[in-house]
Parts: sequence; C-alpha cells; structure tokens
Amino acid sequence: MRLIYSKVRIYTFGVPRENLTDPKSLMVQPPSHRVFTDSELRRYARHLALPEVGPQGQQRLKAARVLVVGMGGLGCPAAQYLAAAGVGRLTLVDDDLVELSNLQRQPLYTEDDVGRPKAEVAATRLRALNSAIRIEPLVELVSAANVLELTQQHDLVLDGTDSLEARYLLADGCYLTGVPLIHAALRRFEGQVVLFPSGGPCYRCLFPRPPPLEVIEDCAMAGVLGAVPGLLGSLQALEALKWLLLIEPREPRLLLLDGLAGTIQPVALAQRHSCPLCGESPTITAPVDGQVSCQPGELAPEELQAELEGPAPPLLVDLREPWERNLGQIPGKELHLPFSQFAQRQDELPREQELLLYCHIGIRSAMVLRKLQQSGFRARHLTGGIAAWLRETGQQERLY
Amino acid sequence: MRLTVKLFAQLRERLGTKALELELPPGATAALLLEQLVAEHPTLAPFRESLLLARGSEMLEPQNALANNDVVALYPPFSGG
Repeated sequence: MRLIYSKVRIYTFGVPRENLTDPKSLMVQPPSHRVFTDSELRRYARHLALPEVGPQGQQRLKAARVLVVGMGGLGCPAAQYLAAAGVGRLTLVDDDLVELSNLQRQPLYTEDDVGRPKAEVAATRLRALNSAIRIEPLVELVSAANVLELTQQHDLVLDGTDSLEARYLLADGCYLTGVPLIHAALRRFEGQVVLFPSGGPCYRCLFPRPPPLEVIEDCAMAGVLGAVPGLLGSLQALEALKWLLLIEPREPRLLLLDGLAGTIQPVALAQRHSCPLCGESPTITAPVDGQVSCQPGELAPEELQAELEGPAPPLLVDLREPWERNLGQIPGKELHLPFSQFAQRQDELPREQELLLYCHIGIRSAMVLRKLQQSGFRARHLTGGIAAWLRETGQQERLY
Repeated sequence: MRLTVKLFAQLRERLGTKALELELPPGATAALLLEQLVAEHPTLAPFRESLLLARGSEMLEPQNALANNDVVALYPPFSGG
C-alpha cells in the first residue's frame, strides 16, 4: 500500500489528537491498520473517526459472524445496519415469502418482490449495499433440529422472529450453545429489546414459560405501525454493534420502548434462581419444538377439503372482521361472526351442528375454541387459519 | 402495606386499567404479589408463569421483598416482529 500523507491522515482517526503533534508519529502504524483497502477506509471513515470504534473496532466487526433470524419488521432494519457497518458474515434466516402486507413496515422489499423468499431478496439488497461482506440467506424455519447448529456457527444472534414459539426455541438454543442473543419484540406501540449474554440471565429468567396459545397474539392480530419495528430493529442493531465493539454498558438489560410516550426505560436483569433453563436446577437441557401448548380440537389445513366434502361437513365460522373477508373466504356453508362481536353474538351459533372456526392465522379461532368448548359446543378450529389453507392450496398471491 | 401495580400490553386491556392498588401483608414478596393479583383478577391466570416484574429499573425475582408504596410494573412477553 502506498503511504501518502492524505491517506495516512485517515488512519489516525481514533487516536487522541493531542498525541498527533509530531507528524512523524503518523508513519508508525500498528499492523491492524493495513487490513483495510482504501475503499474500506473511505466507506467506514465515520466509524474510524469514533474513538469507540477506530481501526481495531472495525476489524472486530469485519471478523464477526452474526445470525439474524426473521427478516421481517425487525430483521430488515437490523440486518441493514449490520451490513452497512461492515459485519463480515451475516446469515439471514426466514422461510417466508414477501407478502403485500409486509411492505407497510418492511421497506427493504418492493412490490416486485411479492412472492419471493424474504431471505434471498434481503441478501441481494444487502450485497448491493456492501459487496465486501459475506451474506448467506437460509430459506428455512428454525426448529429444534437445526437451532443448535445454527447458533454455534455464529458469534451473536439477533431474534427478529414473529412468534413466541420461535423466540423460546432460539433463546434456548443460544443459551445451550453459549452464544449471546439480542432479542427484540413488539406489540402495537410498545417494544422490548434485550441483551442476553452467554451464561445467562436468559429469556426464561424474564418469562419462564410461554403463556398458553389462546392468549398469544401477533402483529397480524394486534396490529402495528410500521415505524415501531423500524425503531426497535435499529435499536437491536445498535445493541449488537456495541456488543461486538466491546462498548459499555455490556450488562444484561432490557430496554422497554413506549412508542406513544416516546420513552425508553432500561431494566437491569438478574439471573432467576428458579429459571428452568439457566437456574440452579434446570429442567430444559435441549431445544424442543411445540412449546406453545396446543388445544384438542385442531384441524390441519391439508385435512380441510376432505372434511368439507365428507358426509357431515362442519359449519364454517369465519371470525375475521368484514374488511378481511373481502380478501378471500373459504368456500362452504358458513356463518360470519366477527371476533370483535363474539361476546355479544355468541348465541347465534348453533349447538346441533359441529362448528369449524377459522380466522386469519389461527389465533382468534384458538381463543374462541376454548370458550366454546367450555360452553359445551362441538367445535374445532383450523390451525394456521385461512393463511395456512391458502398456502396449502397454492393461492399464495391471496395472502394478506 | 399498599402497592401500586402498573400493567402493560394485553394485561392492561384484560383489566381495563393502566394501574391498580394492591394491599399486601408487610414483608410480602414479588411471588405473593403475583399470587394475590391473579386471585383478585383470574383473567391474568394464563400469564402467571410468563410475566416480568420490575421495580423502577430493577427486575424482581420471586423471592424479592417488597416495601410499602412500591410501584411494580408487570410485562408479558411480546411476540410481534
């Protein structure tokens, strides 16, 4: 590399200015400064100018391997900032395809991407942003079978998934393989970002076990304003970069965002003695699928057609709101009872016929199922809702 | 002793309030607070093993003792992404 003065000046950012009075001292550079090309020095100039980063920090980012699970509202901004920052190896995991309803909060994708795998589209976009780093897309679901292998190949994991099932699985996998985890999750205008170092405290110190399925909601049901995951994903990237750069504070902590009040409240975390994963007598020693308990009375989408064409087809009960019905319905004899009016209109349901409840993704129907079963109705619900049925029957373009 | 319990997310919607007052015996722990809260408001029962309790910027463990006038915040896990 040619050492001309104008270039050497860049190398000296990060060194206290008072030490730079002798221009000859600029010629003495530690070897780590030479690992960057001129183009990298220009690209990361604003990092190199930060005393907390500098060439050593930039080298740490270049050497880091980060796993981002879930390329949705959180994973998109988080991965964008990690790629832009020069994290050397990024693995992006998501088994979903881009849907039109994603664009409201996932501006990494465009209308032309609808129907394409998120992980692959994201990898293409991020390679265009930074061609000097390695990005591997994985169009896969994280499960008990692959979670340990995935986490242990990385230095840090970011959780941007959209289900409690995946969150518990990933948190267990990270703890069991000793890989730190930056968790982020949201509900409406509120969010949580948590740094879990290896060795605990872990996610189960905060929330020991998942609540039952009928009280769990997701963005599809609760709703979300797009800027909220944008803010949380960026906060997740900030926590990740600080961790990789050894910037304090590095203590385990939870950041609680209230998007309406405009506040972020930090909470210091403690290891829970009774934690089922990292406590004194752990009961969880391996990752397990299906931790969010299922109800009896479930019908899988692949069994629906046979049921509807059978000798005694159940009465379909669509629990979705009127606007959702405009986007598609399951054909068959049916009754429309919006979830929002369920309490007032429950009496309209017939007791003499078997009911098959469905909604968008199977959460509202699971909640109603439990109530109806307690009231003596003969009812089942469609797991995964109309979304699973649309996928099963090759109608992905109608997903919302 | 008297404490204030602040509720967040679905807990707030389930009870229809952002905060409530709770009367507990002196020296009560975080575990007892949760037990009494669920007894008074059974709609919170499904969340019993899934709640984070915090006092200010400090996470509470079940065995931690509470004091008069404490303000304890309860958070459920969020799933959305």
